[in-house]
Amino acid sequence: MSLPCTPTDQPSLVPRKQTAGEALLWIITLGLLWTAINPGDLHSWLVGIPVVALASAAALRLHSPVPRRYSLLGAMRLATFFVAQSFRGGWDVAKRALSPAMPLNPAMLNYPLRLRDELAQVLLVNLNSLLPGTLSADLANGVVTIHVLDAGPETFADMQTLEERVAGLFSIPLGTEKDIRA
Amino acid sequence: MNLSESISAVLILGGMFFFVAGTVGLLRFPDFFTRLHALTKADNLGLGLVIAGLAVQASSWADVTRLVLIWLLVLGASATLCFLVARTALRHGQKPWTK
Repeated sequence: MSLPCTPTDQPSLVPRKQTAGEALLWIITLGLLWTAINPGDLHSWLVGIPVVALASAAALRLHSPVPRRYSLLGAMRLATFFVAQSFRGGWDVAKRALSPAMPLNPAMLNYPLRLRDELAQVLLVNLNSLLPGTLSADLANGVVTIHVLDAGPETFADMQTLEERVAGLFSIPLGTEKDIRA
Repeated sequence: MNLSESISAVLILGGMFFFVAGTVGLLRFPDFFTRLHALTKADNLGLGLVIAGLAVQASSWADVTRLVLIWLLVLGASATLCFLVARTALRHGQKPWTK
């Protein structure tokens, strides 16, 4: 399933040239998204036009030029995992909140990522906040700072699975922690 | 109540339970970061269940798609905002509560 991939760990900080075609593509895509949410509502474009324009500008500015391959199977596995974990995460935090004893043992921990692709890292950081007991609080130099509700030996197990599932979506191999620190 | 109405009622009530639990967490949890946990996770699940409950009653597939789209957009926005709020707090020296 995983195919060899170009290394994508180069930060893309240099602004690159954008083509008018790319801009048009974003405007059309986001315009369609707006229409999907507000079908047949002409007045909604009063807000929609500036929002689509701003969102397109942001997308053009932030979109990294690295070519990516997505795996459908990987997407389905990630989605299944995410939905299952959403239930666990919501249930876990609800139980803690409603329990009279309110069991909490929070800690702020660093997790060095094996994922090196920037987009994959951002996706992981966002999904992580919806996993049971973990919340992303910072991301710098390939290390995520995670706030956990209940620090223990099992803390990083879900995180590792999530990382593997995200890598599966992008069909990219996972490096080792050493690679990142080197 | 017919079957779809009953399913819808169960899902929406389930969703409300998680919204309430998230709010209780927001009020009871000891610090900034633990409160963020309560908000993001309970509300994500709560909204998902409410959306699922409404989708059961939707009159067309277009409406179902729209509901799912709304859920995904809220999910993306809340995860991103949660991260930005937590990062800002951390970088400004907000200390996490410990036992």
